[in-house]
Amino acid sequence: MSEVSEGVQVVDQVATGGEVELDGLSKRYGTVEAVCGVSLSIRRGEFLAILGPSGAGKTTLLNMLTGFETPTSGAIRINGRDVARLAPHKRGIGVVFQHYALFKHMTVAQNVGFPLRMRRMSSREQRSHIQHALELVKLEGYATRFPDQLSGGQQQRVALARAIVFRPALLLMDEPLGALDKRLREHMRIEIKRLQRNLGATVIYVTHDQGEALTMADRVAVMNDGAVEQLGTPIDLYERPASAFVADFVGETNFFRGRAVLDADGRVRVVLDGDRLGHRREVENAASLKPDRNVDVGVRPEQVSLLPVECADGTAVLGTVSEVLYEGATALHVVETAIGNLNARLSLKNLRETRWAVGDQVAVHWDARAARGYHVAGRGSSPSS
Amino acid sequence: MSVDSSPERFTDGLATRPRRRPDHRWLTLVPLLAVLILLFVVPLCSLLVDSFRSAQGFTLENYREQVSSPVFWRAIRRTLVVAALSTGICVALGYGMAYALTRMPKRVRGVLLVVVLVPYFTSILIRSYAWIAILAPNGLVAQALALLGVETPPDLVFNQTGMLIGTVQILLPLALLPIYSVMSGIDRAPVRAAQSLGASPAVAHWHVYRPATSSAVMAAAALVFISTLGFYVTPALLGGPGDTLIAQSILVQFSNLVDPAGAAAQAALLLLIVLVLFAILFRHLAPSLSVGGTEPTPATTTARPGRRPPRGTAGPTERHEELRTLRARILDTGLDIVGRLRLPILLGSWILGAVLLVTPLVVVAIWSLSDATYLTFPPEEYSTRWFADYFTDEAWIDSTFLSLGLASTAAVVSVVIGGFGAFGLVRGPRRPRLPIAILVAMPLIVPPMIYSLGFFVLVAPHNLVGTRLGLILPYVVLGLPFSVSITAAALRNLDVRLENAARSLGAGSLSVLRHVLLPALRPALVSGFVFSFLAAFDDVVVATFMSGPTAVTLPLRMFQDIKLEVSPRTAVVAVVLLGAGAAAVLLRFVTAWLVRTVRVALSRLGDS
Repeated sequence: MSEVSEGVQVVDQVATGGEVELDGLSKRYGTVEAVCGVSLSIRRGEFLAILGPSGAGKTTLLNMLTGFETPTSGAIRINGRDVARLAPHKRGIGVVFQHYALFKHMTVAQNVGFPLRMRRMSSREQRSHIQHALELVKLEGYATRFPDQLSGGQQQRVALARAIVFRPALLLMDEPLGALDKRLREHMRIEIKRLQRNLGATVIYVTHDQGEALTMADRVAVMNDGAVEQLGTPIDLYERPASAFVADFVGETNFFRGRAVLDADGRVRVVLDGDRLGHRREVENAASLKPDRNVDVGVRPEQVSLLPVECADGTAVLGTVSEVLYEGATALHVVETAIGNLNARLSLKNLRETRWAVGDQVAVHWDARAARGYHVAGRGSSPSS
Repeated sequence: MSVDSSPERFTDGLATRPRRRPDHRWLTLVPLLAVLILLFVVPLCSLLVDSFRSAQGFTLENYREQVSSPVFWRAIRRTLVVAALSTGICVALGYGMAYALTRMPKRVRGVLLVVVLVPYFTSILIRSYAWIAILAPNGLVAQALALLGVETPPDLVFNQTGMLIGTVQILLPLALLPIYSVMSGIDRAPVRAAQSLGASPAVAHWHVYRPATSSAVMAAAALVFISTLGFYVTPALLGGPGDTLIAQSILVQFSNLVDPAGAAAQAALLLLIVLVLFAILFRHLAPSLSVGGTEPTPATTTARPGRRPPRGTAGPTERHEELRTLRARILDTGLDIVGRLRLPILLGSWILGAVLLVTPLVVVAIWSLSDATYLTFPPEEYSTRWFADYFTDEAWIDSTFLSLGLASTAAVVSVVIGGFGAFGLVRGPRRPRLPIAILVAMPLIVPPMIYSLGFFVLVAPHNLVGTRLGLILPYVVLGLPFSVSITAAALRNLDVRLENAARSLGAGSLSVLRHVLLPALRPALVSGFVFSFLAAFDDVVVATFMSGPTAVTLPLRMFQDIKLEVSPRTAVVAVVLLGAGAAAVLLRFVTAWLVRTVRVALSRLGDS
């Protein structure tokens, strides 16, 4: 009985996730700015994913959080206290490392008990905490095993238990699922999410996998070139990407180069290069576009429909199907058009009657609300699709 | 064997060969085993037999005599003390230096490794000799102390202190290199994890990093300890007259006291100690000696998981547990304190280590230019007279060429026999691998004094003493541990499928050797040659027995010269040898560069 009540107490204490604030965090190596002025505030109990391609500055940011790099400038506040210049072992951040970094010569229990030992907890107290943490990750009964005797998924859970057992104010995860196979990865997403919700832990989750970021996070910070390119909920990110980079990195996007023009009604519309009819197309974010500038219009493949040529209205673009890739629930159609090659992902459910084959003439159509324009700047624009 | 059958499947269709071709690859082991048994095992066994022999037949009297002699016991005790001390110092210093190395930027690492490797490849004789100049009563250290106002400097040489300093300097690389090679492969992520979980750097190091190095540390300790047990040259040069270690004691018993049976008994006892130690430490030594087959030895695989009874389940008593908590707390507090000093400790270990390693070489270089006929350092006047003296002295030049010839002949033979042997060891039958590998390592483990004595006693009646052959044969044996282990390591990293592919494409054994194995193994064979060469070229002990008046090797001549009078002559030889070594290395780089440039130029010509 007493053990149970002790366990409950532990949960209560674990549940107090901290409030975290990154304030103008920068790291410069010589003349290279690996991270420039990252500011994020993470609410108590929030799951924030940091998403970006390799070289975006994720690792440097992570190292500054864990304390293995000192920021050139800026602050990291956990519950109001700046830890940016503290040694790693004084920060009290729980970290799940990329390849788990388990202690191979220690048992599971010794691994999980390590942070408690470092906090000078007596072995007896340690035991109940270890027990509880192992229960949370569903590894009861594995306490006396060595990491080498566990599967990848189990090792992952040990790393997780070790990082939460001392109730850190912040839980940091660095590509925690990278080493697992696809099926296990998807299963662990759900597990981690459940654990985080139960504990009320504040989590920063670093990944290059957009699927993980979108499914698990409350909010996602997309990093590129050392800066946060967009911060928002997964829905924001996918449906309203702030830049061509985000549109391309999160999900797939067809891009068409064009020019913004100011219409008589005061709205900005876009004329696509190669569009013989010179149709002035509406885009969803017209208000944020400046006229007389080059613009990339992005449309998601699943927002594109392919219609028989005879159904084409004035806005449709004509094209030829050059490739059909069967994907199971969907089929990806590559269409050659005057405005460029584009991908259309069509649900097979809607294709019962009209299946397109290579060589078919089609009218390409999309809803104006599904198209977004991005100013063509010096960098990061017009990725080929 | 299943891998081996794949080429047959291809040739079966051609229907000329028998269905199951027996595997003859073990045949390549024959020369290696023959040499090791005839030239190594047999001499040692005959020595053992001698130790039980008297005029009347079998006796234990020789042993009784030695065991009851206080002189012998003092030599044993002294040897063990020197070995333990030098092991402790070498391992501690080597650990610090190796760790510091892994934390340095790549470029600095390269430079510092040179600081370790150049002395390592320099003859033991020369390094010991340099210490005389440094530690002598009017030497470098004494003069430095005098400048600091110390009037009567402590006696540093011709006693156990000098012996210890010399031994540490000589064996430090032997401790440092295996530890470094393991350390440079250690993943640092767990250390970071420990730090993020609340361990200060020193605590993280102790709990997470150190356990990963413990086997390498044991291996280094074992190598240094076993080497010191058989040390002869350094103690003989730097120790005092009353400080004989056991290897010297064997020689004195044999040649001064003319008691071959007593010497054999002493040798047998030392051999027993060495072999027992080897057996105890085998599981640590196996990986670094490259003894094991392709599969790790059973000891190393079972060493890790499941070794300690995991805590918690057995329900230890409360008091027990409290005690353990307390002990852990004390340890961690102590580590925290040490951790604050980690930078001075690491820096200090490198300064001490680098000074130890490099000073002798610098001193030798300066001393070679001395004008004096006796020991003064730094020299009062400089001249090249000792160089002239060396180059015009026929006896010295003869010895130099004799040693070069002996060492290179022995090294070539050892690389050929060792190369084939390594092939048989790695690709041949699985079961005898471990015993053969242990046998191959033995010439490195058994003190040369024991082996030389056994060999000498065995061949003395057959007119081999004083001949080139009499020297080359034991030198081949001394080179084999190097040539076999280096080639075997390279072969193990070479994909068998390369050979099988070549066979399936129609290559016979000779073609496979010429077109696949030799090109891939060339670097290993070259370094096997270098190590075998140095083993022979550095030798004093074998030469002490096997040299005659007509064939005095260079190291032996130097050794005798130093024992007679400490003149700059040996320094000159040292500088000449070092210069030759440096020139050889330089030449290798220059030719490689030339070949590359010519190739590039040719390919450009071809393109245009």
